[in-house]
Amino acid sequence: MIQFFQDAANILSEHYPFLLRGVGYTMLIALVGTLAGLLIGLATGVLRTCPLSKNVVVRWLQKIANGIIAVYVEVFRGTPMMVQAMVIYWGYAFASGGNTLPLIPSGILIVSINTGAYMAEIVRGGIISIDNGQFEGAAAVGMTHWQAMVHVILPQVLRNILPSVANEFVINIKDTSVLNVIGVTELYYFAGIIKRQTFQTFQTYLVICVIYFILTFSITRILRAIEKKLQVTDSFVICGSQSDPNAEIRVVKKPEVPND
Amino acid sequence: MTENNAVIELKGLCKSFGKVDVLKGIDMQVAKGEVVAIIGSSGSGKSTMLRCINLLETPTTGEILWHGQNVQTEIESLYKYRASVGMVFQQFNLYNNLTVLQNCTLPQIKVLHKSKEEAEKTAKDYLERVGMLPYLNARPAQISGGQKQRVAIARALAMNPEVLLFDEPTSALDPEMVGEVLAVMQQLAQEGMTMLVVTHEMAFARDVSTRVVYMNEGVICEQGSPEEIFGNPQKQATKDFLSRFRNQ
Amino acid sequence: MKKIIAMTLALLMVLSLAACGNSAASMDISGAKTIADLKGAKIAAQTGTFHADALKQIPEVQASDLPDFTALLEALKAGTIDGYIAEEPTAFDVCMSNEDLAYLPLVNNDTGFTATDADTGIAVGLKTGNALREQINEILSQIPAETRSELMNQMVQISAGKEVTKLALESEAPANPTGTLKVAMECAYAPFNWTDSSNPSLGAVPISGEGKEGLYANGYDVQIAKYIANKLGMDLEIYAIEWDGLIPALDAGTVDAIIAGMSPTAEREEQIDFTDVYYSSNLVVIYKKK
Repeated sequence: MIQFFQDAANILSEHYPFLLRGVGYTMLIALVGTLAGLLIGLATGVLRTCPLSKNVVVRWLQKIANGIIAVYVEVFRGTPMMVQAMVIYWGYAFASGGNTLPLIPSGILIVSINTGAYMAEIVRGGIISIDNGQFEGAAAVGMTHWQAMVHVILPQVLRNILPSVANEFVINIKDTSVLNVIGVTELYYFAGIIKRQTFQTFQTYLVICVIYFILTFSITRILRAIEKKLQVTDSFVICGSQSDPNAEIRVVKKPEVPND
Repeated sequence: MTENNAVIELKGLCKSFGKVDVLKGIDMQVAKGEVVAIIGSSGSGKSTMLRCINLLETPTTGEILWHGQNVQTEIESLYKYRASVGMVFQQFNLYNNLTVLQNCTLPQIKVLHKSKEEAEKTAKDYLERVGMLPYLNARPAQISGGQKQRVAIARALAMNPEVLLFDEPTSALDPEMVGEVLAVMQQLAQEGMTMLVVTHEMAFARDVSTRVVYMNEGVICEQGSPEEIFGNPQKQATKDFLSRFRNQ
Repeated sequence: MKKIIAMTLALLMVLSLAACGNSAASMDISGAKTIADLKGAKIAAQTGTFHADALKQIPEVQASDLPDFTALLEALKAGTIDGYIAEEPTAFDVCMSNEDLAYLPLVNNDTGFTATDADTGIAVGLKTGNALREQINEILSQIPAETRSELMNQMVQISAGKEVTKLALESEAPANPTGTLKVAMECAYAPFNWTDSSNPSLGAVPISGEGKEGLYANGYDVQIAKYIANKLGMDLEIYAIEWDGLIPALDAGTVDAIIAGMSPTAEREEQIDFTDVYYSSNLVVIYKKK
């Protein structure tokens, strides 16, 4: 038993430069992939919730775009990311006569496209759940659909979907491990190298397991703290009173008044 | 009243939702400075008519003329048109992500292309008039319904509109908050703002409006001065409607 | 009452799952001289390899297969199986690093498994019709059998962390290379090919590709690849690619050759060309000392 933990400690002390590099690439791919996926989700979400144009040509283009997005979402949600990685990476190599995409950008690309498919649904749900009155309030003063989206709707959507986005990020930290099939040097890839060098498979994976857990656990805590911070904006300042125009009254939290 | 000084004119306006005909041919003119109270029971088409005017609903047939120009085919820009026809909603529809001040400045900056300073100055002027100046930094979730509606009116006024449309502005309010909103509207009416007000507040219709329109089942049943409609209604439907209110 | 029923059901499920699992192995095979002596033992091999077919030559064997050699090793250490089939160099390599493991030194077509060169030999994989094949065969034929076995012996030593001062197979790098030979291997199959992540061992070659900085490949395959590239007058680039990606990489043209301990089986011959065999090994059985 003591020997076992000794082995695990040795793996850490001997291979930490590569474990650190693995952690670095895992976090880089997961973070950039999640953000790029969110952008894909926002773009497709806005496109899909855009009312159909009165112009016939534009309307057909919209329908085609919606069709493409629907296929994209179904295909990338309905197939494993490991398979997508193989198909995209080697597919590109076949199509380009042997050139391969650089590995880290490939990894980011694959995670982005995959996450984008999930985000597309999350964002669409987020937009649909915003009260129609918000759109009308923007339209009635003469804002375009685009202006309403950017300045009124999407800020509210982003705040509402933050927990889902955080969840996707944590999933991506774990799921980057499948990218080792194309040789991306993330954390799991180095686990493979270390286990073959040390012949200590279980010890190696235990170390990797702990590292993954530390990553996901700390990220979850940080994101939850951010969420909480965004929610506690329920205090504001009333400027001026009848007796003193320079007075400031701090109103801290006020229970919401139900309107019915 | 001739066609030339009509700000808004409706000609044969019809609106159907699927197989349900909500508006069955509305003809109406609104001149500058008029305060038109539109009354009628629920489902009579009052709100739909108002929403057609600024094209939140697309009319099925019929014309809406803005200074004699068809708003669907002849005007320069839908967005400019909407900016000059302010709308106040039953559910306020303040932008939940923005503060009271930002609610009033965003449309000015984005639609009227005003500078931030200019927009804030205008916004503060109107917020002061509706008594909401101290709440500049509050968010919609933090203020009461009556306060929200006053901010919504300030937001509409800050666009410097020619006409204001009110869609049941007090229906979603607790009774004790109705007064503060009506007071603001009354003040606007006295200043000569052209207003179309869909309302269940009969006292407001009687005391403040210059004309009362009674709608029933998608058509204008009867219209006239407040004295005529409330004092001597001609149609049986109007009498029935008003008597129901008196009994309440 | 409901709780008790739920608990009973849960317990039953766990028990039935345990019943479905494999029972532990217990046979002592350390004294076996031929595969006939392994009768009835629990032996495993890697899925989809010739080893898994050879397994059936053992009489009344309780055969199982696992996806890769680390899984086989863990199963053996955990006592799930009595032994597993490996090539002698690999077996030697594993046993040097694990004191409680040993292997039965079976000899192909004698005391051990019936096998041909196509089954247990390894060859360089090339794209079908590649003209390099004849040149590489010519180069391989210049390496004597003693050099091959000495080089393999050295690679096992290096892989186990032992000091080796001079490699058995050496060649001059070309002064004016005429091109680059891109070679694919797993870099995960010691002593044929492995990855050095700390200090590069004697004769190691840097692995090409983004994110692979500081990683080196070494092993029998690497030394053969270096020798071939030098004799062809070309630079060498080594690419670390997963086993399943090797043939796609060759087909796509990403690499020029596979030198990855790959046997020229009939199925693979349908997709790619192979040179002559550059090493042939006995199949042996690794077991745990009692």
